[in-house]
Amino acid sequence: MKKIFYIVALSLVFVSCSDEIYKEINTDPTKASQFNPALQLTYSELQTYGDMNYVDVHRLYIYAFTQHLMGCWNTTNYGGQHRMDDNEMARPWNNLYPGAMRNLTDAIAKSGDEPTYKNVNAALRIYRVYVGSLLTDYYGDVPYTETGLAYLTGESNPKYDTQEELYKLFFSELKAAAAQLDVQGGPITSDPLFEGDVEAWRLFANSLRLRYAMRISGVLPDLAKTEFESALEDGVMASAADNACVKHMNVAYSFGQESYKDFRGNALAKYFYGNDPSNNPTYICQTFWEQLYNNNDPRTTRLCRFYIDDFMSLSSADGRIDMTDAVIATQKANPESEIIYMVPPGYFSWDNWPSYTDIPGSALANQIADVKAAHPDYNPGENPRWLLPKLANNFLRSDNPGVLMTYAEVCFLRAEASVLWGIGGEAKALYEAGIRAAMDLLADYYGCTAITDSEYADYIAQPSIAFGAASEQQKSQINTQAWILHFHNPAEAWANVRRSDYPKLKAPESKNPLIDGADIPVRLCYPLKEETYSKEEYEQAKSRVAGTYDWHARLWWDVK
Amino acid sequence: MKICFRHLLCLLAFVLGSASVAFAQNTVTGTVEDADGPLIGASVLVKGTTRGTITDFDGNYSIEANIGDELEFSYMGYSAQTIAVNGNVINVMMQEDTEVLSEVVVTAMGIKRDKKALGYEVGEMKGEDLTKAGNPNAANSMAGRVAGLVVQETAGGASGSTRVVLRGATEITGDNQPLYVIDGVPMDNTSFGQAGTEGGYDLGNGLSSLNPDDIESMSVLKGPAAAALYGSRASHGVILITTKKADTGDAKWSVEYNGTITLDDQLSKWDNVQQVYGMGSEGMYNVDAVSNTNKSWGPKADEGLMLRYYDGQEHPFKIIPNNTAHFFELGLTATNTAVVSMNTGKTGIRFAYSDMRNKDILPNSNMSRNVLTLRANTSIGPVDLDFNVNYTHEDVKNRPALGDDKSNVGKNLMTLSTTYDQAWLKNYQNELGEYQNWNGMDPYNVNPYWEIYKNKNQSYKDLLRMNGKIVYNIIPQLKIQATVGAELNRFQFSDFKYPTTPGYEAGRLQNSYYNNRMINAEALGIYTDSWGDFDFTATAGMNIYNVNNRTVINTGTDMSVREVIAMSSFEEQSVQEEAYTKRIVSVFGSMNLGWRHMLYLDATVRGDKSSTLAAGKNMYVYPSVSGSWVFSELITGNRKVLPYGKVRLSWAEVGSDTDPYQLALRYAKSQFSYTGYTIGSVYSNLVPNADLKPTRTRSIETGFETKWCNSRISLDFTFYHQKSRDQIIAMATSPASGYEYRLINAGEILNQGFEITFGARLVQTKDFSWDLNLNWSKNNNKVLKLVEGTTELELAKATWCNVYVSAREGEDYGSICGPALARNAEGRVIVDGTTGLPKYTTENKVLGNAQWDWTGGLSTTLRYKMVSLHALFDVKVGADIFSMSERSAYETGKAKETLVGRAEWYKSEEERKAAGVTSGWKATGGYLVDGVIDNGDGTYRENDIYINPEKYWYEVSRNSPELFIYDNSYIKCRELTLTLDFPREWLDKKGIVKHVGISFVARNPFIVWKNIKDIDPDAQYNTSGLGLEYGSLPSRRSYGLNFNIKF
Repeated sequence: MKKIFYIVALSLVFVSCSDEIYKEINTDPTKASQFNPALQLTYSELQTYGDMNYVDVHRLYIYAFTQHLMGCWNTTNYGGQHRMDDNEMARPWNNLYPGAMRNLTDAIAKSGDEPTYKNVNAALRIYRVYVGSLLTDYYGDVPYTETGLAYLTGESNPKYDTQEELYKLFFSELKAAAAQLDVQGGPITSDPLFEGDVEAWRLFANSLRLRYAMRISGVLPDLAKTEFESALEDGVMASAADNACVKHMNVAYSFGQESYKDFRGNALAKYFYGNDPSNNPTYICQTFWEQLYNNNDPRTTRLCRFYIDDFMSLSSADGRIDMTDAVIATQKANPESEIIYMVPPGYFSWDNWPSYTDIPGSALANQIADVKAAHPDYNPGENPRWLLPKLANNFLRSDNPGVLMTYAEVCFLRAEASVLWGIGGEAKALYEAGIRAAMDLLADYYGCTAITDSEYADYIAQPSIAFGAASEQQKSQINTQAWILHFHNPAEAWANVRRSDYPKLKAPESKNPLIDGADIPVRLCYPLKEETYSKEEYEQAKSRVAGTYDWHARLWWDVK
Repeated sequence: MKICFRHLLCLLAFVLGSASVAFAQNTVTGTVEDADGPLIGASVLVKGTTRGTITDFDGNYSIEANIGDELEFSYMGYSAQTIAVNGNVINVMMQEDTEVLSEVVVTAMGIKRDKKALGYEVGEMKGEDLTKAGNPNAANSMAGRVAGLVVQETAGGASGSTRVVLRGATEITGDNQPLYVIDGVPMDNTSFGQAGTEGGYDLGNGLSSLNPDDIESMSVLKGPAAAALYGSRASHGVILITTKKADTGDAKWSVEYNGTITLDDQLSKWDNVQQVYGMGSEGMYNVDAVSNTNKSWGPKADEGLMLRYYDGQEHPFKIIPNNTAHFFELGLTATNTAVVSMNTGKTGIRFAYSDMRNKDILPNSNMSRNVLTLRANTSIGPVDLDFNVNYTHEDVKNRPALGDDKSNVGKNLMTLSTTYDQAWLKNYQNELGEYQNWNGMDPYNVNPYWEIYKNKNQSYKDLLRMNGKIVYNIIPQLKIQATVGAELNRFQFSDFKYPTTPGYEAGRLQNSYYNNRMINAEALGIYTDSWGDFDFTATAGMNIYNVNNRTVINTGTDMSVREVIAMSSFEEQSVQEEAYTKRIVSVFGSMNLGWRHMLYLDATVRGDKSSTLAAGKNMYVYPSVSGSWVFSELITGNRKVLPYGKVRLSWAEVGSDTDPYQLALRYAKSQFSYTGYTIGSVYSNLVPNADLKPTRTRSIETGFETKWCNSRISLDFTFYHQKSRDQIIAMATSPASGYEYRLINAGEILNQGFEITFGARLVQTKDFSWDLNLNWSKNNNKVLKLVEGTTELELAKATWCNVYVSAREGEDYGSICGPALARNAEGRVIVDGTTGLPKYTTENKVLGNAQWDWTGGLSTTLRYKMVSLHALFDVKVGADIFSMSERSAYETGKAKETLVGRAEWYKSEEERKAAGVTSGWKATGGYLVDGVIDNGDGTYRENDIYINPEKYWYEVSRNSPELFIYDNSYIKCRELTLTLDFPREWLDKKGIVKHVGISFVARNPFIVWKNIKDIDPDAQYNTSGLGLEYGSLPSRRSYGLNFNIKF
């Protein structure tokens, strides 16, 4: 018996000690150790607009800084009141680096030598530049060349590249990646951005060079001009068919835990819908409203509507009562009366509480009577918060695209280049083509009623809109139009407003205290924890900025 | 239970009646002496009865006894003597007995050893002490009992888990929980879920489903030297649990019933709120009464004012007293255990069935736990066999959601306005069964009744634990034994949110299935011998430990069939799969040498090979050496003053491995499907590391044990110094590196401290005795070094104010960090000259520490005849806690301190309106921040800007954590029991009934002292993020009866 026992025990020990068996035990049966890098491209493309953790920074800060939106608690409390919050400002940093940046860097390294992944590799490189540009435009000097390498090379304290180095690198990297694209180079499978269209990727890369060249036009005008021309020569987006818009999916509305990991739906649209929509919807800022409404922009009622939300469904925008036509008609008929209320910058929606007085016989009085008849217990005049313009339902759908860059933007960039340097075509034509393309976007992507030729013609014929003669006016007009266009691309909207200084946005008046400085902030601060996690690199970056925790310090390219 | 009580009363009457029977008397007198003279306080007992006495100052006694009775003479430190009564005088000469002094304790590998032979400290707890107060969770009843053992409950209640830490955290990351070994087999103590930054549920752990009645004793091996033989898993100490075997008494059969029933109610309540202002904001209420329902910044309460609420009902605008408390119900916990035990001398069988039912104070929340245990042991010739099977079924309905969870009813109730009666919320659904909008669909303040009655969560646990042991006694000196243990743990948790729940509008069902399997096999040879003055023991063994866990989480969203709560009712379903597989093979040996029962030397060595480390680095060997010197052996002559004294010294090193799959990058497809595309990403959030070395913890421990005054007083002292280096840490890195953590060998953490245990029988007379036990421990847990370029590691993150708990280089472990108020050189708060609000620093500062400075326990037992009173107190001093509940009380205007400046501010606003000024008005009254304004030239002026108190508290409650960090010290009464043990002669004459005991029990009956106002100091929402509290439910106190009868 003793013998048997020893034999059994010893053989057990030896069998279970073999390194092969150990390796097998220590291999996760539910996860892959190798992967198709194209799937990481998919992840990165969808994160840009699909990650609720990251995208929230736009609702919290960016839309308030660009004065597109204001009034909802989240927007006014943080961006509207200039309230620094380490957690909220860190959203791009804490999500894009361990998200897209990690995956893009890894996939680029894994696909570099594979001929079948030649195009995938090029697309990954282009996308990495794009994500890098988002980060540097939020924060300034940021880690880029050394990020995502912690596993590959062991680099866990990446240096902060200067913004100047980064922009120069973006140009060379985009050129190289575009040159690497090859129709024979293997398919880009799983690509919700371009469906694997290699030519579209090339145009996107070149068009981004236009954007980045214009971005540095103030600080390095000569390089900017050279790069702009070189990009034009290589070929840029020429129609809306070339637009870089990530396709998102229609997912059920939810703010539950999973939705933070689910990048399929457009998170920006989810935030527009709001996490308590009937109470805290997306209000249009006075600045944006006045730009549209006062200039009779046909986009006004396509973007902004007046809704009664009391009967709104919990999981979709259904059930809202649309009062827009009656409100606008009544306001137009009674210009002396204050029918439409607005949310000025820095205000909460309830700070400027609307009141309603019946104007008998008006379109509005008639519709209110209809609403009362349909809902006997409800009096719309008693609590008329619906007199504040809100974002139209079309923009609350989770299958709205994630706009990275459009042909319309290319038109505006070229128009400005023409004004600045006299290159790349005729400024007026490009300006008008840009407006047309920006208007078409609403019908093409958001299901708005198409803007007719006559609506467009009337609009551009107005003195305030018609292309001016003086170059400063032209720059103002072009960039104001870009600002309207970039409502769908908030990161770019903020960057372009800071770069061009148009439209001239006024800092909020103090209805609510402006917590951290009276001027509109021009950057986001680095996360505080960088100081303890990556001390040396952080200190170096800090020494290059006048006071790192000052969000009024301009970025390198942001010159007056 | 009603029937049970009636039986009890009958029995009581019966035994009291029989007590009045008179006894035939015969007085026996005499003297009890030893070689040096009379013994004072020696005990004399008529055998088989409770009739007894003790000797007086001259060693004399006198007792009534019949001829033929037997008298039992006993005295601590002496051999007991039994002498038959055959006359009226019996003088006794007592013999000292060194063996009596020896206490046997269970040590590593389940080997029972004489305590004096150990070179390290072992804490002991008896099963009967742990079950005295009927606590359904054995871990919670350990609180305050052993020096250096800190027990932390969560706000999760009976179904929740408990954090146990021995001598502080030895690892910077990781759970730092000790290893539990049941009858030689390591237990899987996995916690299936804990509340984190976003909240969640405490899903309990392995320990929480143990039946306390099955526990014979627990040995606490605190330091690495004691635990060295258990290897890697024991680097945080070991708690050895020995379960009960069949009774080995004379009787062949025994049947025992033990029942406890307690009523549970709220210990700490949340109703200490201001009683002046009601619902609203800016001094006004909303006409529609669906906004600002969770703010008490409205006008003064006014009973005459009627408001119409969301459900169309009108109610007066008055303060509702004890509003939160009325939401909760009276809880009930009943535990019934029956034990049948059979013993034929060589063979013993014990079968126990225990049924625990708990109805929580949280409405519609309950749990049940059934534990079946069968243990059989027998001897066949030289072979001993011992088998143990244990099956636990646990069923929990509606565990409370904790922390920042949207479903946490505690959090939602504690902000409800002072004038808003929680009872009005009972109308939680409309006629369609959908969520009734009562507060603008605020997803962070969901109607608590909806959460409890419409949303549901449920968990089932099936746990099968088996072990078998075979011992072959080859020769008297040598035996070999093999133990095989297995644990199968199936746990299912299902969490449902009905559609229209704010935040989960489309509905959601998540079913999590945990399948854990653990097998442990061990072979051990033990050789014991003695030669002359030397005693010798050697062991050698090997161990294979295998874990294979699988977890599948199915989540359904978008519920289209509302009638059935099943996965198939959901339009979209996603699956997540996780695995955890690990094997450790070990070889170990030990040697003990003793000389003249005075000097002892121990040495152990163990080698582990773990599957979690790379080939070539996965073998690690670590030794321990310890020794003890029983110096009292040198004392010749009278040893009554110091019958026992020992000094000990030990040194040990323990190695430790890591979790599986940490050596290479892993990739995974997203759990979500997007037709036409596949979303995939790097799954590892931490940078894997193929070069990991095992963690090393080195410790030195020294101390002494003494017994004084005939062993009536004992005093133990321990000092330990423990340093862990090369720790395998998931070190937080800058996200800019692309990863949030990287796995490295780094860091150095120090634990150093003292433990003192004092025990005394303060009074001993014939009928009365008073025992007092004290323990005290102080641990200094310091982070000496992290890794180059990093000075901090975040351990847990708070929901509010950017607060986190961290390990900071040079600071004590568990620093509570966050932004601080900006202060000038004099320490005055700097106020912004335009807003009147305080300013903040732009760096994270250490604001407090979550670790206790010292902890202690006091237990005392007073016994008079058959009645004993026992109390246990738990003392914890010096830790801080960031209370987000207090924070929200200020933000929402419920705290009494928020009254300051209100009336003045409203008056100032009236003046402003009267003056027709909209901007540039200088307020004449309101809240004035105690601080100074920077003049810009290096000087400061006193702040004179009055601000709206509502605005002030809103701002500081979101930015200034230091106002809400409290000292969390406390003294809590953990247990109070009053027990009546029926004397034998009161029971039936034939001796069928062996024991009857009845106790009044109270658990956590009161808090003696605490510094934090409204919450229970134990109210933290999880067991890892120490120092953080949010939305805690009222803690529970229990009163009830325990009844024990044994045949």
